[in-house]
Amino acid sequence: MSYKRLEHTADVEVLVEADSLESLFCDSLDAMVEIMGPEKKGDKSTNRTVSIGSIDLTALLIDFLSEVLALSEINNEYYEVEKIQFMNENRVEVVLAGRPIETFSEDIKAVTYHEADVVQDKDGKWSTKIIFDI
Amino acid sequence: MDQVVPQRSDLRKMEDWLWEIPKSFRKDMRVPAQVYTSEEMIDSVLGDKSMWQLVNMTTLPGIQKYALAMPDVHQGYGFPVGGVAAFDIKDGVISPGGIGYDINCGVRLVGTDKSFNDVKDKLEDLAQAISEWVPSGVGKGGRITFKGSDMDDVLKNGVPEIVKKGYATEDDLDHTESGGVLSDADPRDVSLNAKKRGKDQLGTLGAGNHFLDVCYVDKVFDDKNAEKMGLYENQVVSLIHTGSRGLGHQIATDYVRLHMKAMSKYGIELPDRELACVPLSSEEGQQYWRAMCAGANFAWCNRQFIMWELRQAWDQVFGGGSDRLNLVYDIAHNIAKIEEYEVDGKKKKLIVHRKGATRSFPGQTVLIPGTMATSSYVLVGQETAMEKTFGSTCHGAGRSMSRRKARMTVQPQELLKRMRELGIVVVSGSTRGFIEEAPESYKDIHNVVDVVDSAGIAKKVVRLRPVVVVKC
Repeated sequence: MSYKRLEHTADVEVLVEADSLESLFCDSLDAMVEIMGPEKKGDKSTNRTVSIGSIDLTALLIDFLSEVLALSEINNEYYEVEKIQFMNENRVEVVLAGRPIETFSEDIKAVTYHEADVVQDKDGKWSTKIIFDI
Repeated sequence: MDQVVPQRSDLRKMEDWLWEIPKSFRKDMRVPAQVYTSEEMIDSVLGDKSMWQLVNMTTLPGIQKYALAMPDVHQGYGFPVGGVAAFDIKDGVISPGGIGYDINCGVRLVGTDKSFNDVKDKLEDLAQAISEWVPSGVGKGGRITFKGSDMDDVLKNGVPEIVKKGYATEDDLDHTESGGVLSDADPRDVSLNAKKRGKDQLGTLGAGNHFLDVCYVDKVFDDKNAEKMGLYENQVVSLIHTGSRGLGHQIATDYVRLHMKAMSKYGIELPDRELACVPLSSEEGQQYWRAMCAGANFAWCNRQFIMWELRQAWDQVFGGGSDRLNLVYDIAHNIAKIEEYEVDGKKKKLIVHRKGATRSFPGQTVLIPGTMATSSYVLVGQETAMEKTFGSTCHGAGRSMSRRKARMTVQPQELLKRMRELGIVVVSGSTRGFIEEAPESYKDIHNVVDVVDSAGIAKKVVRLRPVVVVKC
């Protein structure tokens, strides 16, 4: 996982960097889960598929994370990417592996679009900032 | 995104407590940006990105007069926390990000008939009982679960719905902003995911900066208004701070996304996606308005249920008397309201967005919680607020230190010792949550309140000192 925390007065801001777009999605989810701090309850894994359509790549990443955040609270599970089945600029379909939790140590209220900008640099590396509302 | 952050030289002093960033600062500004602060606090206001976010607010279509920042302003997302903006209801917009993810996050002040001397030997028992009765923490469900149409009834009817079930009284309604219900609410505009997130969360505090404190009145500034509010020196009271929990978070998430997609249809371009907005009169604007009202109703019911739980804890410790716990006032600080103001000499209906800001109507009770180890204040709203701040004032102390920095600089044992020495009993389920909310993470509440008092937008009535803090 490649992300670092940035200074933000009230919320949690991270910079995620990855060698591929797929990795950026996986690493962003891993960063979110690490911030949430799941207190794990067993290893039983349940696969769940999420399919998201958005206006562009940046919105797609934020909307994907928002969907996983909602699932986490509804199902009391934490998630990692099992498989990315499909991805383009406007749509992503992901199979998630969900594992049960007792609780999370941090309450992420929402994933925001503020300052998020998925970009690829001249060396092919992908990155974005993400601010989580705490 | 244009990220030119205003500097001290960009701020023009207008009055003793008011500074302005003129419209000429950035070409996309539709109105100036104003900030209420003091010479002492102005550098901290400029120390994060809040003034840049305030300038971004001025670009929203239909904005009236100016974008405002209260003295507790700090960096958020979209609007800064402490931001107020008003839009014409005919050609202005509604922006979910200008209200925040925690719709109708707010504060409730509960009065008791006991003085500090009556309870000082039972503070540990009271703290324990409250922590047992009031669920707090991430993912902690409450004791109230919905059956059938219960959820939709709460979303539609707000606190009056739970009066019928014995969790609230008619008197509680009289002491809640808007009577605890926004009548435009429509549960059909609230997604299934939002309802699922909120299904077991009524009567729960949640985490972050949410809390339940027991305090006592340690100073009275205004005898007449204190008496009117039923407050007196040494009286024990309780402050409850929470909002609409996962239900409100999901409503905001759903509609920021919807509005971002719909903006181009209305020719709206913005410097920040988090400000996503549509005309209030549009279909998408009305859908969000109805959903936001439903989220607000849920939040009022949440704080009402917590007050009911507090009553049970009170009875457990004192063997009765909880019927004498009365609601002093309940106020929202993340909400939009349709209100009437004079603009260019004409009365106009505006939709006022308050994100981390409190209503301050003349004669109305204003609640401004401080930190877990300092003070909180009760103020009374003033006419000046109607003239200058769209009937608004600040909502708290305002963070000044990041959570990460707090974790690096505050030692939990030292903080706990400090709280003990101050005579404050703490029950916190999370060491991380406890140190992130250390008093040094916030601005000085006394300085913040002095600004709004001196500017005349709200006047001090009493000061509260905490003796029990219950949080995640």
